[in-house]
Amino acid sequence: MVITLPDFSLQKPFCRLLVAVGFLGFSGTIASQSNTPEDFDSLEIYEKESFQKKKILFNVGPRLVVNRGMDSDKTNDILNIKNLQRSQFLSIQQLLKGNASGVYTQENNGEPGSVQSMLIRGISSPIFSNKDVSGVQPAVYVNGIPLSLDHPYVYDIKQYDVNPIGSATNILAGLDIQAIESIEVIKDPLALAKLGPLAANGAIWIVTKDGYYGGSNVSINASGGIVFAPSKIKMTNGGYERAFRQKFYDTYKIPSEQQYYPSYLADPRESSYFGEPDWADSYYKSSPLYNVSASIGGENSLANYIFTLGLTEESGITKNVGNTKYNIGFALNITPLPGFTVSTYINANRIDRKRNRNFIDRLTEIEYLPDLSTPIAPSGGAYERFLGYDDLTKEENLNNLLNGYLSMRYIKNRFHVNTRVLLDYNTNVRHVFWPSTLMESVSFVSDYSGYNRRLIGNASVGYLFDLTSAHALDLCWDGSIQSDYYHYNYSKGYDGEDDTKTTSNSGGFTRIYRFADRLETRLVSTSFALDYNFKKLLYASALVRYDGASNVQLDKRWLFSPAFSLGWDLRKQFFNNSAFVSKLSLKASWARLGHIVQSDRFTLGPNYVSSELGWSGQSMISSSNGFATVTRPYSIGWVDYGMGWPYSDKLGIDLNASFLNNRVNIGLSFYENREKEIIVQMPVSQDFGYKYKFVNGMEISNRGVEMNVSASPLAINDPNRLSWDISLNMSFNQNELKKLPSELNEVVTNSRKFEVGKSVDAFWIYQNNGIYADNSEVPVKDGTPLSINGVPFQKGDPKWTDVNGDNIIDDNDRVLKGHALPRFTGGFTNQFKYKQFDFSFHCFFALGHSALNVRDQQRYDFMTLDRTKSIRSVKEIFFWQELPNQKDDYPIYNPLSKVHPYRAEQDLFLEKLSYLKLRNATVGYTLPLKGEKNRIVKSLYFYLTANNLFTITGFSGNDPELVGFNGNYDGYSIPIPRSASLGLRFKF
Amino acid sequence: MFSNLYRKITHFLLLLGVGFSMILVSCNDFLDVESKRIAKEDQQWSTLEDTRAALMGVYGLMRAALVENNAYWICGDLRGGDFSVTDRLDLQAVVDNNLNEPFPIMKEISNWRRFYAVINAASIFIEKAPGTFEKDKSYSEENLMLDIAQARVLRAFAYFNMVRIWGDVPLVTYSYDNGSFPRMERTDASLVLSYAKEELENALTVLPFQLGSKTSLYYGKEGKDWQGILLNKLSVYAILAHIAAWEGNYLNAETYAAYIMDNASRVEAKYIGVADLTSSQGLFLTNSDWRVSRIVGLTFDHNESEASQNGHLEELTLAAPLVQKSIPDMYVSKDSLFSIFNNVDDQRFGIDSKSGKYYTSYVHNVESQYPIFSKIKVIQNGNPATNDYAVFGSALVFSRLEDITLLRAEALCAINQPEQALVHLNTIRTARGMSAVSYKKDFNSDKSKVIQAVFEERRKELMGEGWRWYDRIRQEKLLNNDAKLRKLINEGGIYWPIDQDILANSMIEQNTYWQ
Repeated sequence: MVITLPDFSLQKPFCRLLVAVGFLGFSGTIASQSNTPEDFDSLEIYEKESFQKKKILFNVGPRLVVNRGMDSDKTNDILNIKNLQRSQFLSIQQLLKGNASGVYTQENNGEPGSVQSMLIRGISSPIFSNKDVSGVQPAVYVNGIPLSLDHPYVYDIKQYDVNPIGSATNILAGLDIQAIESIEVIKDPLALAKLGPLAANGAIWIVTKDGYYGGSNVSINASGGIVFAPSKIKMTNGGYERAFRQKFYDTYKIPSEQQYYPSYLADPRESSYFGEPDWADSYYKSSPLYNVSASIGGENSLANYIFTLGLTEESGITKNVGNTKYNIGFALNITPLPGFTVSTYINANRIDRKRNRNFIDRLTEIEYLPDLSTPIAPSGGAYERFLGYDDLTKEENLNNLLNGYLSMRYIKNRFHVNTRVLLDYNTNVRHVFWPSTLMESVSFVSDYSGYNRRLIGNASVGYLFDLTSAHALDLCWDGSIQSDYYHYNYSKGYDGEDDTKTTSNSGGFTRIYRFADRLETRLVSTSFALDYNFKKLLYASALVRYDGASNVQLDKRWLFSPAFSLGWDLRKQFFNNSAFVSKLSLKASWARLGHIVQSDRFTLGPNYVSSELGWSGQSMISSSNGFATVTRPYSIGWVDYGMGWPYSDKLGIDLNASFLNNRVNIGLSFYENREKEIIVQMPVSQDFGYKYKFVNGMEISNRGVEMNVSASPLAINDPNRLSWDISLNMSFNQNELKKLPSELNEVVTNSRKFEVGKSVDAFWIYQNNGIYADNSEVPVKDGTPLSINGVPFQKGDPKWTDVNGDNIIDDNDRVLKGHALPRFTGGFTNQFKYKQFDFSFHCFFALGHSALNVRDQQRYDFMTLDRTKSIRSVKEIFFWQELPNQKDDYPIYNPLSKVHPYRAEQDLFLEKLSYLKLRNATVGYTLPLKGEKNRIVKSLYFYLTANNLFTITGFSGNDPELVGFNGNYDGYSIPIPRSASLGLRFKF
Repeated sequence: MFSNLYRKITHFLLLLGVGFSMILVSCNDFLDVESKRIAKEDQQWSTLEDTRAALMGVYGLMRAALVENNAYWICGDLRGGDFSVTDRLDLQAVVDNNLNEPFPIMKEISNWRRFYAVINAASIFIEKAPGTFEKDKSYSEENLMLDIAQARVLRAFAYFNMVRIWGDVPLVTYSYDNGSFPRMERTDASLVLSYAKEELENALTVLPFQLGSKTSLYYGKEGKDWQGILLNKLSVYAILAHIAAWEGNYLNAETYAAYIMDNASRVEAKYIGVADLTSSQGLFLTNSDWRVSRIVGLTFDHNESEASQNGHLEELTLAAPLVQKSIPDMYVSKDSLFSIFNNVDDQRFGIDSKSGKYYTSYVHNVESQYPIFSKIKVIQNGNPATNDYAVFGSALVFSRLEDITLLRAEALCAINQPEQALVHLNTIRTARGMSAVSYKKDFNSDKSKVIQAVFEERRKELMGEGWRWYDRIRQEKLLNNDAKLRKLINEGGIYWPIDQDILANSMIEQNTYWQ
């Protein structure tokens, strides 16, 4: 084979310039996304491609399409949304789970509509608490509008890191799933650089249906089903618990006067604790779910529109937990003059969520600890009675979301100019009244009302040059200004006069605390992009951008960042006429992109706050002697001058190949994202009042490989034969701490340890090697036995490895082990079609991560938990439940030991989480309709779908997904339900 | 052909360049967003309201430092004291002096950062408040001097508290408000205390008995409004007296105590009867009429939303029927009660001659398994509609006239004037319904017995006010009759261990006892 280099003459001055700048290229603008979803259920008709092929620049509905890019790579990261729309998923995170390579979603709660998170290509900064999760979330764009999610400042006044104040609803569960036309995951560095700093953690690009694609039609989609309560709950009671504890006392022959039983376990004649348990039927409940959505659209040569409506109700498997959403959307495109298009899109959603009744959620919202020594009883109808008390509860949990844009575009030959105003406004309202019957005669009321408002003005202008027939160059300038505003008012009141006064304004509350906060951030961006191609063989692109952010200090506020990319169409180069290779291309892309700083804390340098007067267990005090106060932010951290942008250096290499007329597609991606100058809380010497100081300078790398394979092994395009489509995606991700501020090699901050060269999601734990069966086994050095905090180990204590051999167990003997995030993730879809029938199923998996089983730790650590005062000693009704795979082979340590044998931070409780789930299976049938023309009903399709069918895992908890961001499994989450539903779609 | 193209490109780029630079210029101003939640340096020190907020901030930090995790009482009353623990293992470990057991509160109490926040805030105040004086004409020099004096007192008070808890601590006398965070070494406790004394003596020259007067208001209020709220001249003397006693310099302690007793009327501080002492409307209620008798105290005003669940003795000691809690976390057992309060005439815990029953002023439900120590019981504002909602509005009282009187008696014994001491002991005894005692008849002219009696009286009078542990140490230093405690004193076991987070600074070593 002779490799001929392209005729890329460096004599031509312009080409010399290109090489000198060193930029490498690839595809067209983001807006060129126009892949049509697969038309498997013959409900949507797409015939616009031919039009698309003729022109290089044109309007498609609201979208500008520049048809000159190397567009082949995109298919891998686009979701098969038509399949997913049948499966009753509520949120964007659920849609993406297992369906796109490089995206990791973990539903750590089966409560519909509760906050969820996702990661694209790993974590970009360490996560210490819920507050930090929003800093690693990808940006979600709906028709180009970057959605404004809840700002983590709502955690600032929270004492416990459980829920934020307000509705705590997943805003991304509010979108109308049925109105979505396509979802694309954007990971390419240059494509992200075009979107700007909001997209520094990756981007999800959602396009909704518009009149252009919908055509003139009415379509209706309806489905209904049921979520199934788990069967065969193994309930336990006081007898079970007492026997469990007795085992410890017997093992160590502890005399009966030292055998501690809390009062509720003390008397086995107490029937509400020792009787037949009966709570499960009151707690778990099968509930209906349904979805109805409709759209009506119209189109002619001058205008098109679509109007969509949706109503979705989803229930959890515990009583009274659910989520209802209402969606209404409208899109209109008008072309009054040739080349001039005005587009508008408005989407409004309302989410009404019914939240769980767990004690921990309630108490952490109230922030008042009652006597926790007696848990709710498992027997004698105690839970049913509790629900009776709960009837007086008044709860309202609403989110209203509104987003839309108005855009004007003009295209003339090869020139395009576009201006847009984008708005995203969402409100968050929560009112709750908990009657005095629920907690020691103390009632509680709280009102939260907040909103997020994002306003963006954007303009772009570009021109497509053809330098010669071989050289094509597209130029584009883009500028935008963005203003985000967040505001809330929050009040909470305690101990009302009586349970009929249920609002904070109705009076009678002993004390009402009021809070308000607001925060504004602004962003100004401008970028200039060049996209070049040589004979559609070599593609090169470069982009420079300049971003200014209000949350960065004045002298460092502007960040200049470049991006480059180079693509090579290998098929055209080597296999131009091959029938076997239908596509083969290679692309490399590099970009630097600033990370948005979420907090406005760093803008000012050294500053003063009013939030320091509280103490642990008491966060609400902000005045002293009745006066407002200011102090330095001692517990938050010192902020110095000279803090700048954190940024990300992203490198991606993609290889895409298709064979046999696109029947087999393979995509491979390699990437390394280096997150640099991450702002981190570093410990300082504590003699100045500060716990930490904030500094730039942490660096994390995320490296990985992603693979997508899709194939159609059997016949294609022949409805009378069986067809089979397989698609598989697999991702490997590995993070590593590359650098710490001040050239440190390791640091302990916020009870986590970071070590250069190790991963940032590791657990910092003692290594457990069993039990000292006898005092003689305890190692002795220089006459003193092995000790922890000065307490010598004894018989019945755990063997923890003395890593540094100093005969003292302390933090230096804790090692970084395991990963909270999976190394491998992926999904696997099979789809069969035969005549009018289709059948598909979807599996997904995550491998190589671990969790600390805090649920087991708490079961075994009953002695400490019962006998210290902490929110962790709250016992829910499902404390009285034995899980099917529950692990009960932990060593029995001496319950009276002073070394705290069952502490959580040891690998005794570290469990592998790897799992595979059959997430969805669907059977569909398309009704054969006679008379192609003039029939009223254009298509009719029925389907039966089931979710969350089974899980294969070695994990001993109830579901390996119900694990917090930090890798702790506490068993408090509501299980992810199994559901089945029947649906139909028709169009006329 | 190309020239045409180049021109086009050049024009295009030029246009972009112009647009680009225009945006940058106009946008820099657009990016100046003023934070609504955080105050920047140059905003903070410009008006009288700013200095008030900063000074109240130092008070607030002092309050938080003392009461976080109820540490003031855990360190002062529970450790080696008269309280027993019901269920809580972490509290039991304090009683047993196993302060190294792995419980969260041990770790938090062992960390002295909370006191250094007070010290840093006070230092910043002392350094920066003069700048406000130059900016705001309504901020008078006198006001500035009073503010700085209070900041000095609070800083010194923080050091005294730390020395009592940890012994040697780093002496930081400057704010280092520049992000440098130098590593400090522990300074010998005696040097720290002499710095504190110097600062207090300095403040004495400035602070009056009453902050502000009718004609010259201090932060909008006259002197009596601040009594029992902010620190005054007598507060400084009280702290000085206690530092002197802790150091064993009883000559000074006596002088200071005498000064306070002689001048108590200047701040209207009075001896208080048992009824008012233990009433929920009495001494401990932040805003009661009796607040003037709190010579050194810190407030938790329920009406200003400063009452709290955590941070009060009540959280540990109260239970049903006083609050909705089945059993208290700690209590004084019947045996202890009967052995400590061995005089039936004692109105604190003796037998009421009218009813023939035990007084309930200190203790509720004496018959039950866990008698409730109810001397301090300020629920909400002390007069709640119901007791359900258990936040507490009781002030932290470091010193009151009874404390000073007994301290003076202790000092007089130490400087060999036991008969003088008895005068003061008898002041307290008779106020509590007991008969006066005489040196010859009751003590066989044995000074050490007087000392014993003075400390026994302190034990009864100040129970639950954070003194017992420190009193025991002073007592042992004077009497040398408790071998176990003597050993702890000699080995440094009377101090708390230092938290691991602090030891991350390699210049600081763990207290030898806890190594």
